[in-house]
Amino acid sequence: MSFKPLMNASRGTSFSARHAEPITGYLFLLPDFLGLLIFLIIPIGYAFLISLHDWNGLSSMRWNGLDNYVKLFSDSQFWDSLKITGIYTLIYVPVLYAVSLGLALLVNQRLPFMRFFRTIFFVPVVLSLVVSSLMWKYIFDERSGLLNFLIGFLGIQPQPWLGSVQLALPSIIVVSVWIQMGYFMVIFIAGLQDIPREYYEAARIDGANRWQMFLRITLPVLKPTSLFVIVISLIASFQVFDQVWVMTKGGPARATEVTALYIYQQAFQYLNLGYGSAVAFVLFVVILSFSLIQFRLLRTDRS
Amino acid sequence: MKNHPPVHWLKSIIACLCLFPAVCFGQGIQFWKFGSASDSANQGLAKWVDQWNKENPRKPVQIRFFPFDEYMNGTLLTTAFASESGPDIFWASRGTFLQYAKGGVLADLSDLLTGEAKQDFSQPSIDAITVDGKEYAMPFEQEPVALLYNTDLLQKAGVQVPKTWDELLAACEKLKAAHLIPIVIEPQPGAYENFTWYPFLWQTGSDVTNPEMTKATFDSPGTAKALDLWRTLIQKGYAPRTATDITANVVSTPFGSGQAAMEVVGMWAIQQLQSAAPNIKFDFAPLPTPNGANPITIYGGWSQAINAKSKNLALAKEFTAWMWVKGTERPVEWCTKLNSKFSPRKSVLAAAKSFYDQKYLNTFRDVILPTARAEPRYPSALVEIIGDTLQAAMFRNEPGAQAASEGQKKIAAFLNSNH
Repeated sequence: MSFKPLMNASRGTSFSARHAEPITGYLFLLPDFLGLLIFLIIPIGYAFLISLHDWNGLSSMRWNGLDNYVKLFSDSQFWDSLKITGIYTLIYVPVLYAVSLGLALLVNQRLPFMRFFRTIFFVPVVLSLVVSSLMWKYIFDERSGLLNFLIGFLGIQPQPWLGSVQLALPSIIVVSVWIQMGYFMVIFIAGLQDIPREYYEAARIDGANRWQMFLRITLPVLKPTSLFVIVISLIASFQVFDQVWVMTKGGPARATEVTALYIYQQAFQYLNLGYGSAVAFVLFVVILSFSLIQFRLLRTDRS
Repeated sequence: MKNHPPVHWLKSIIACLCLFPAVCFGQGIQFWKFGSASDSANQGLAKWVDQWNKENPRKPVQIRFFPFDEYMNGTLLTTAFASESGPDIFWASRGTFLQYAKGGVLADLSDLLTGEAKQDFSQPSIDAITVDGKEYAMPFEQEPVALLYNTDLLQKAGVQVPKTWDELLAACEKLKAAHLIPIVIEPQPGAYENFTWYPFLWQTGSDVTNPEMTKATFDSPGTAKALDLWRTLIQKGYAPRTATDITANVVSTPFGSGQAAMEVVGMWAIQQLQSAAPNIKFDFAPLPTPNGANPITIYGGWSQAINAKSKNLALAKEFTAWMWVKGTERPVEWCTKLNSKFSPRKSVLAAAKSFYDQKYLNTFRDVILPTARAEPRYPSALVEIIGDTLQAAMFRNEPGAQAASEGQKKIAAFLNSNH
């Protein structure tokens, strides 16, 4: 007995030919899509649903429509947290950009031990954020921290780094830059190595100095890489949480209370999960807006 | 006769089969506690659990320990309860008790606290765990706060134990000049910072609200003075601005390492210092007051709560009663050997009388506890407002009067929105 095909031979062959490749493609995408659906899309959707309720996580949810969003717009603490996040971003992104590019330029030279330095600068990236933050918390300790010990040799009085409303946020920015600079340094190194050497040789022949070559060749050719670094670091800066939680918990006096921390506190310390979800969605819209603007800039630049 | 290996295997298999139904059919319960398993107090609790399991093999209890920060300030308990995978038994502080009670998480324990058993507890300890006439937790300890001081350091600096706020500030100035850390207070916002500050507020005759919690009374000269005191301690560099851990863990503070002369901390510090910093010579005194008279302090303490959705409510209640209500053996051990605390039960205090005759503890019993008020049970929003006010004074150098006025507005707005 022979196996009967599901369809007659002529129709089955034509269907298989037309659809085999797309079906195969979708089948390969399916696991990733399912992962995104289960671990990203559905939770985000559910979080939006929670934001339309009054819920403390312990008893049942109570529908309150857009009340959480209305409350948010008159919540001065939310706006303060957004302002602090904005200040953090405005300082962190340019500093990180400059430091990573600077390190990339330094270690991209053909000198001995460059591979060693690349590794050293990359080490903070592979450390856990909590470990790095705890380490820096001790370095910044006002009584027995290494930093105050070192600045003592310069005749500077010990500073209450994490205990000062003026110094706490810059201290966290320093730590964030330290943690991420190695990662973006590697991105920049890849970009630098893509720049043809002939450009620099031609510029040298024309009498350009190093600074002029950097401004007229390196920076323009690195533009796509730069935009990528800025987009990624900007998104990350709006989501900063771990360093702040470990080092200051938003203090002193809310001086480092970034929006992600505010969301966490609202949801898990004050048990306002509905309101916390609403703030999270507003932050999501803010980040998405900035990202879309930057992608638009990138596309315009390419075209 | 030789013991054949197969006999041992058979015994093990039979033992596992006996435990298997208890474990697999959910007859056991989970008890979640904060702290490290190596803490002496937690070792004592683990020993109790082992004892219970030996005596009641068909009613197993499993105790698990979690970092304090995660337990108190993290997502641990909230997400566990929200996903209905919360522990059967856990501990609630006064700061969090109301949240859980109003959230419907807590089981009614009124049936454990009846008749003679209830009479044995002090009325304030029962009031603290009562909501709408029902008891929702089991109180088991009371911990008053006092001024802990290092006798060697004070002597070295030529400083007397301060009795008034002015004396406190003068002592701090002298200690700072002697290159010592004058005093440790809690710098991180939260329920514990508020808890250690309330006595200073009350000493001025002020309070956050009226007793019925219908009217804000925060904006007063007394509140301004109390805020200014803590503002001065921080702004003049008398107290550290940061801490590596909650200062309730006195061993982790500069006091515990012999660098600080004084600390505002509770009675639990006695056992901590004796076991982990035996070289430090210390003593306790009542907290300084504005004029040296009418001392007031505060007492707090954890209470044991049961998850209202526990799948084995009866076992959880039975175990809780066995720990804290039946007899005095375990409560005495908790208060006197594993910790240094008072019990809310009169019979336990009587049974441990000789313990409280000892040095430090007699000071707490005779001098400090009689002046102690119970920690208030404020909703988390109120805890946050008070904390923000205190932090603004301490770290933004906001004058006490201004901070008190702004705090008053927020407290009034909160009370109005809840009535």
